[in-house]
Amino acid sequence: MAAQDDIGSRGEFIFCTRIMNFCGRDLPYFRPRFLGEKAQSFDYLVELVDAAKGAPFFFVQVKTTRKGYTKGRLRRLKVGMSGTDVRRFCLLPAPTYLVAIDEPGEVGYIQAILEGMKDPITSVPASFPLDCANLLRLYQEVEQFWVGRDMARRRSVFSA
Amino acid sequence: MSESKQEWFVAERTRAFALMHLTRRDDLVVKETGGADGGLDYIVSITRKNGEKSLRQFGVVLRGTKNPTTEEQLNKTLRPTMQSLQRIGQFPYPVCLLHFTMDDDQGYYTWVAEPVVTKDGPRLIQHAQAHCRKLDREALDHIVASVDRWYEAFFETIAVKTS
Repeated sequence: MAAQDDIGSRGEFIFCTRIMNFCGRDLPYFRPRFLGEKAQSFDYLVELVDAAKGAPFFFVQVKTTRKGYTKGRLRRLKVGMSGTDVRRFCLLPAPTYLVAIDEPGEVGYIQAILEGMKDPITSVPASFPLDCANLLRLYQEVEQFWVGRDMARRRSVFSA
Repeated sequence: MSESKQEWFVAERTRAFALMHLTRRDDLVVKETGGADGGLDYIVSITRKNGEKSLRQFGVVLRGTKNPTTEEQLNKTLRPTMQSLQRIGQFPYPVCLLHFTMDDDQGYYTWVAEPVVTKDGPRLIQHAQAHCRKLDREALDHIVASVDRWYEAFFETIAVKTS
């Protein structure tokens, strides 16, 4: 891993430290699985650890910047996501999020990508840092998403 | 909760912390050893000013624990680790151990093979005991400067120019 020209890699290390925060528990809330350099748009599949039912998960794209924040009352990190990626995220029948990393500050902010979104994202509000309060909320949100869906597969043409 | 599950997460997050710290300097190139290099987790190369990889490198051993600690406590906790690293053999280049504690996100470092330059030339002190200090940007700069200084002195000692 060449550090000098790859702030993207550094952003991923920062993301992993933040998403795997133990938050005073025995285990972290989340287990990130890197999808590889060649995965289009999606950087991580993140599993919920010790969920009550099933194996809930969500997808994340990590974007890293050194450009800093916009001025004004509602600070926004100057990093974005292309319209193509936004639309690709919307097609997934699973929760999807953009995580924006402020590289010098080593902090991350999360933003949900929701159905109907199609325009490029040019900045991310600094309202939802990846701290313990928001990790808990994220866990609950994703768990709730999957609890509301019966994803059990009971038949296949390949079953005896 | 199984202990091995917790250990797995501690190890994974320790790796992420180590990479986050080491990449604070943009002149370091980190290479995973895959455990093949005598107990080392990473080999870190210091690049030259023009970005070229150099032969100046140091080894990194990683450790992590869940609970917060102090430098004194950690020195005791790491005693078996330091002794087992000594048993592996003498390192021919600088090696430091990085330790991270999960509950307070704190990093520590201690030299396993410490590069020092004395009036008699470069020396590599093989430590059997940990002498932990907190790891931050300043500490990382100190580690890299010590390694750099040691290689300067080392090459001065061994290099002979032919005409």
